[in-house]
This record gives sequence, C-alpha cells and structure tokens, in this order.
Amino acid sequence: MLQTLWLFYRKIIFSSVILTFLLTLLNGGFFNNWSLSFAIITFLVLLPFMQLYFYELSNKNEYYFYANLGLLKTTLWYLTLAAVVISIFITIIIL
Amino acid sequence: MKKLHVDSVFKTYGTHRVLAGAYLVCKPGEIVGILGRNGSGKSTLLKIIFGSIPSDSSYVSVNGVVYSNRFQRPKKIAYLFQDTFVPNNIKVKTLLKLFRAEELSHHVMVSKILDQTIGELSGGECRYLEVLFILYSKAEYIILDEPFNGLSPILKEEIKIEIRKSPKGIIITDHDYRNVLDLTTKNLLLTNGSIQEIRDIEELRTKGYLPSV
Repeated sequence: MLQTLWLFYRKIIFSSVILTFLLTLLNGGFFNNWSLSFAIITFLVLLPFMQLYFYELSNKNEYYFYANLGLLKTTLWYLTLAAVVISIFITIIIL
Repeated sequence: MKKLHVDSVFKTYGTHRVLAGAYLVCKPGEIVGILGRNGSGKSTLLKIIFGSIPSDSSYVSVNGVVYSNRFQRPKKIAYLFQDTFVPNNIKVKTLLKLFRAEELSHHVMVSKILDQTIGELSGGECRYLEVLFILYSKAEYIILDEPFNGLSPILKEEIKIEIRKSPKGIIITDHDYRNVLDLTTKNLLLTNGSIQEIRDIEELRTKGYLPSV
C-alpha cells in the first residue's frame, strides 16, 4: 500500500516542491520576504492543485490503476485534502 | 455459495435513467458476456459493480458477503478499464509485484519485457499486459471492459486463451461481439436500463442489437 501511495504522490510532491521553490524565490526577491511559513503553506496549497492537474486533467484513466490496487479516486482525494488540512493546522500552531 | 450477485442497480444522470434494476449473477468459472448498444449503460454498470462510481441504489454481494460500502469491493473484484490506464513510467516487473501477479514473470511474452516500462511498449502490447495483470491479480471476480480494444487478431486469440484458462468468474463486454460470444458461457443484453438473457445470435437481431439481415 505504501508503494502504491508513493507512486501516486511522487509526481505531485516533486512538482509542488519545484513550484514552491520558484514561488519562494520570487516572493523573497521581489518583496524581500524570506518566510518558511510562506514556503510550507504554498507547498501544501499546491498539492491538491497538482493532483487536479496530473490526474483529473492529464491522466484521468490512471485512477483505475490505483483503484485496482485498492485506492479509489474518492479515497485518494480524501487523503490529499486531509493531509493538507492537518499539515496547515500543525504549521499554524508551530509557526 | 460462491458467486458475484448484483441486483436492483439503479443509476440516473440528470433526468436520464441509465440503469433501471439491472441484475446479474456470475459464478467462478463462468464467463458472462454483456452486450448492448453504445450508451446503453454497460460501462456504468461495470463501474458500479467494481465500486468506482456510486449508484442511486444497488445490491452487490461476493460469495454471500454484501458489499454495501463500495470502497471495499476492489479487494474482491478487479476491473479492466476500457482505455489504457496503467501509468507509462513504471517497469513491467514492478507492475507484476503491485498486481501480485508474479507468476506472469515466466509468461513467454512478459518474461522478455520485464525491464521495460509501459511507455516503451506498443498500444497493443500494453493492452495485452493490462488484461493479463487484471486476470492474474488476486481478485476472485474479473470485469473486462473492452479487452479486445486495439488488439491484433493474434493477440485477441492469446487473450481468449488466457480468459478460458482462468478459474475466476469473469464478466466481459466488448463491441467485438463475435469474440465475446466465442468465449462466454452466458450472454446478457442491456437495453433500457435492464438486463435480459440471450440464448442465440438470432435473438440479438430480434432485440435490435444486431442489424437484421
């Protein structure tokens, strides 16, 4: 199950990391605001949008691959959104 | 008793009722063919059985256990989607492990491409592999939605051999009705949202699935 989750999330995570890095650089360069909380929140907000792009728009059929491995599309969306909401909550408390 | 039992499946899209009490039973070793015109609701019915889309109401039981929670059904039922669905950046040998179909590593064709990714294969080879992954998965019941889609005649015959070999309960639909009829132990026609059993090819003509000669 962990391997299946990694297969599903790896491209979402990698692309979110790259975009977060670029947006953090832009935010720091233009507004002189080098903020860790900005980077973390940006990364978390990007995750569901990357899922939307990579799976809902580009590779919708792949949901049937993950469904055959036990993870239906609805489950994957619940997992992503739950992870984002919990992580944002924890980030706000810590930072 | 061992069987996949599907009953009273209702599904409406907007005001259009696609399924109106569809019913079918599939036992291990049986190959049940579902035929129907484009838009008759075949794929919708198969997705509801698998659990990937919700129904308005339905009854699905596997070997006597009722699966009212659709999220639990993929453990017992595997579903071949009608188009290519396996990610193209994963190696064949990794996919064998994921589908728990390691025995396929000794398969004549599969053993030659273990280190290739799905993206490196032709469309037909990819489809052939997808059918094998689903057939050899650990699910007890198999749903094949257009397994002959994009396959050459030789690969179609190979697929038919693999399907006949399987001891599992198989539900199959494809517009290549000759190959479907060649395989099946029971045939069903989906019209107006409900299912009726078909005994011979002539009945497919009288019921309007095939043009009358």
